[in-house]
Amino acid sequence: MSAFWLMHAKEWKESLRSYRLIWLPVVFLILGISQPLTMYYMEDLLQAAGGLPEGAVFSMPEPSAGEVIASVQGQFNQIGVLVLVLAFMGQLSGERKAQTDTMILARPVSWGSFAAAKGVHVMGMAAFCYGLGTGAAVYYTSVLYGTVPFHDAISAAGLFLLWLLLVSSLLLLFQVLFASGTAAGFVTIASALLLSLGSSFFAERLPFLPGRLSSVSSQLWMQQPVEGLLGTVLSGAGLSIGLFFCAVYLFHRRSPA
Amino acid sequence: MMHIRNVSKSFGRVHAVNDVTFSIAKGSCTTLLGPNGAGKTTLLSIAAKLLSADSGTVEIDGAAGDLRRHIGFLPQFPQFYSWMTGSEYMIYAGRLHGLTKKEAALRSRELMEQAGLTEAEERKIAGWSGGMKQRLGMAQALISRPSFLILDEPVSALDPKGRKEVLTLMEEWKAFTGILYSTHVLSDAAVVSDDVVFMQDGKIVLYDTMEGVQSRAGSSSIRIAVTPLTDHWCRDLERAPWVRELRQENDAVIVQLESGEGADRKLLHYVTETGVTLTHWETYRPALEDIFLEVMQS
Amino acid sequence: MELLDTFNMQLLLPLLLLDFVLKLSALIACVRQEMTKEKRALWIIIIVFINFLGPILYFLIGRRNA
Repeated sequence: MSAFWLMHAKEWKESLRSYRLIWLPVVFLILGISQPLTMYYMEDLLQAAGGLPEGAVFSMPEPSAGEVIASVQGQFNQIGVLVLVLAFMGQLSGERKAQTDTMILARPVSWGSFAAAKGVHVMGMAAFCYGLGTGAAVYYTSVLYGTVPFHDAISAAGLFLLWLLLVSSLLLLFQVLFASGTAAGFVTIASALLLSLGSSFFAERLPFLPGRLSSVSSQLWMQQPVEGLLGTVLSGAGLSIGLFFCAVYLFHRRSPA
Repeated sequence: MMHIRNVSKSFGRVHAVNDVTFSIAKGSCTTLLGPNGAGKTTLLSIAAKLLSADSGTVEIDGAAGDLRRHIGFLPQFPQFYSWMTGSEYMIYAGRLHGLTKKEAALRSRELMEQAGLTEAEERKIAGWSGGMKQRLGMAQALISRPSFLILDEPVSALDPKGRKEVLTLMEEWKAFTGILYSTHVLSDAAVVSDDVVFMQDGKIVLYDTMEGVQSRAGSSSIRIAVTPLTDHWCRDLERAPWVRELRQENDAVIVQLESGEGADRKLLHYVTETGVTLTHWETYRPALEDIFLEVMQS
Repeated sequence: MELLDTFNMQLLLPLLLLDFVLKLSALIACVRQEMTKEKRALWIIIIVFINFLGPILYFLIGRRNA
């Protein structure tokens, strides 16, 4: 087995031993289940909590299945991404700081694969957690509200997954650039926010910015028409791959061997 | 042979390593001695390809470039994945060198036994003592049967017992690998090393064999006790041309001999010639501390 | 109780189970981790009594030196 796959397998093992492989998917599953449930039972919950004031009418329109899943995804985009970044922000910088990398990099392994193995693991974890969470959300929504056409569901999920891969690449890059994991995590979250804000600001003139990935995905869930889909996918994929290899290259360049 | 040729490295305006050249033969042990900040760790990191040199080369058997497959490295403060067990770490390390799972497991068991870690090998490293981790550090450096071992302060952090254990391991492993190790504990160097490199302020101030270094300090001293011990006997001895100094200590005499071959034989000859009975004979080799101070001052 | 009846228990059960798994894994990790008695007690209270967020906080902050 090549050094890359050995180091990649080590990352999975570490996630398992540190319980990350259990609690991260569980968090996504809980988010995916609880959101459709609370939305469905909102009226009952409000009444149980003391009821509505006299004369007030509860008039929340029944959301569509797509809207429910889009709101679940909103949770993934906030809590999910935050937790994912916080859980992995010390992955590379932590090893640098604790110097556990020294005895690994003194072996005949490439520094590039050392960093790449970590990045690919975060991407794998993101895909795993998001897949489980969305699967649960789709199931609960189908029971309580109805279904979203399979075709739309796949493309919407694919788009959001691309967004998660982009965030993972950002995290790897900033871990290479910053010695502190906390700084890397903070800058990752900040730049993801900036990407989203920037793309919605320029939505009219530049309808293909990669920051649109998550909002376009929500639109697809809700089966709304989307403009510039191909451009968004291409720019998103391009930026993810570009950032990932940029991170790997920058780390590899530090190798003295 | 491992050749370190004209290696220099600066951090800003500090010349951490300044034009250092020496070689290590397979099956021999070279000690890198020097006070803290002499550039030992920097030099070893360059040799282990963890740091790039500003200039100069490191070669093994004529080949330069990425030599990591020929080298086993132990950093000064080895840090392990503490969530792994000892044998998991060893197998991971071995496989990164291209060993198969089976080979790595076999090699791990062998080295763990040599390092006296067999009982702990299935426990998480998190719970290991400092001495055990140091020995694991030595074992992981050997997993790939490297031609050269580079050990940064392998014994400095250990208690006397642990120090002795690690030095014994080094003595054993010297048979099939060249060892380059650094220390600031001088007495350790005398135990295993063949060659000594004294470093100060990034430069080599002395590079010689262990015997050469010891003879450089000049004379050795001998502590003898004879009966009867008379003032007359001592005075005659003190006048001999091969005696530099004589000091009486209780019922014994400490004779510092002039350097050169055969002075000790002459002393023995004097004892038998004068017809006294020899009850004690003890040779003092010059302490490495003395040589160290002498070299560093000059 | 009336509220509970209106809930579909079959739909609620997985959520309760997941919450249990989250709490249990955090508790196991916390008990196995080396730390002072006071710290452990504090974390156990946080894990047990703060739903959802408690275990997450423990995993993100409480295991920094594990």
